[in-house]
Amino acid sequence: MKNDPLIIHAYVDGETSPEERAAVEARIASDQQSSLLYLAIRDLKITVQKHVQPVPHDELWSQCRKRLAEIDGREKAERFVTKYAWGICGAFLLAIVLGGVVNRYSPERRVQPQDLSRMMNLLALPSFSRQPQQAQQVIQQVSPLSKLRFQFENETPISVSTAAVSGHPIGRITLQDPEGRVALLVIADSDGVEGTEPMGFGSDYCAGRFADINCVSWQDAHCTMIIVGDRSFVDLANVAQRIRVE
Amino acid sequence: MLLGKRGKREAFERQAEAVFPSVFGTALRLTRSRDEAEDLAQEAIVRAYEAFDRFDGNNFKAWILRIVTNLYINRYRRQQRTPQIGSLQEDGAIDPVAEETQEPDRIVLDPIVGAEVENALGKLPEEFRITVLLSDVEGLSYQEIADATDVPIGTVRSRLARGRAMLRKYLQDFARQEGFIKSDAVGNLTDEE
Repeated sequence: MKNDPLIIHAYVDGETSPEERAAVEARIASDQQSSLLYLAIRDLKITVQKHVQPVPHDELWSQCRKRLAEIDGREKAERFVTKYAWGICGAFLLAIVLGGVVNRYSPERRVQPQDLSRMMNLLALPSFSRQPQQAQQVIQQVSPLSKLRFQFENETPISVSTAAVSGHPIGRITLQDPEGRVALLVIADSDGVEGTEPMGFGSDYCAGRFADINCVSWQDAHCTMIIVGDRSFVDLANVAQRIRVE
Repeated sequence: MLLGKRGKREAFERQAEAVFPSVFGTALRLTRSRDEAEDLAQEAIVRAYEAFDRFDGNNFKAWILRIVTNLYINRYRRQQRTPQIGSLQEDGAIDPVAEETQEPDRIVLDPIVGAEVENALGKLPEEFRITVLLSDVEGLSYQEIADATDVPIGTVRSRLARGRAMLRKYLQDFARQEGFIKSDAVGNLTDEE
């Protein structure tokens, strides 16, 4: 031990056993070189402890606390998702199924363009009479038009037919005027026709083309009315303005 | 440690806040860059919090300084890829003894200011600097330093002796330059008979 300076460092650092401590103290007391080494180590240690201090940094500590809070929040979310993963998946699945069911059994509120073509094809032309009075009677008897009362100025109804397309009860009235024929489609429980645009700012009428034929639509008596014919939009709108529905 | 989430956070923050000046001070003296020290300290706090369940409850300061040191060694030093002079000098770390000193170190070192001690510490090769810092500044035991730096306890002892000898020499040179002591007025810290 006499030649081992490390033991004196250990003594200064309090890292010696009782036996070693006694031996080092005896050595320091009897050997001047060891004594000087002991003092040098001790003084250096004191100097370092005196001048080199821990460094407070309150702002950084605040940032650390924020990060810890973020970690807690993230772990909380992860635990929730892990714990209720099956429940969340089930809820999503149920929502998808319910959405599908509702979608399947709820009629579209707006008429789709492809439906409009089907409506035109399904409803056969003249089927009843060319007599205006007879046609008017039929209009009032046939669902969904049974509760509606139509009044025409220049146009004469010459045929009526009804059907149901995509859940919408619909009726078709063929009208004759000096210009020729137009078809009036009446669609119950719908909010308009997809693909048509308003004819002007604030206008009640919307215009569009389906299967290369112009049409004008509007809402009246909780139904969508559509005038279809080989005429300009303005002419079709004029016809529409002349039709009264009660 | 069986703590609830809130209890864990509170227990950790209470202990971490108490030792945070040591965490940041050690990080600052290891990296010698304020920005890097802030990153290192913050990362160490996060790592410690994530591993707090595995803390044995004995010495929180030693445990978190071990994390700081390991992070520094594994991350910052590899990034910097600086040559490690100290490791070449570790074996036979004690210089031959000098002549008897004429003045006690207490007198020699007294006029030296904190900035010079910090500068001298900064000049130490990395392994020695870490060891001296953990021992003389943070008061860790040899075993705790060995755990923190992942070396045998014998290596800690030799690094400490060697680091102190180099540190004292830097401080003596400074004292000599400033005229606090006469030339060759003091000997070396290292000894051998």
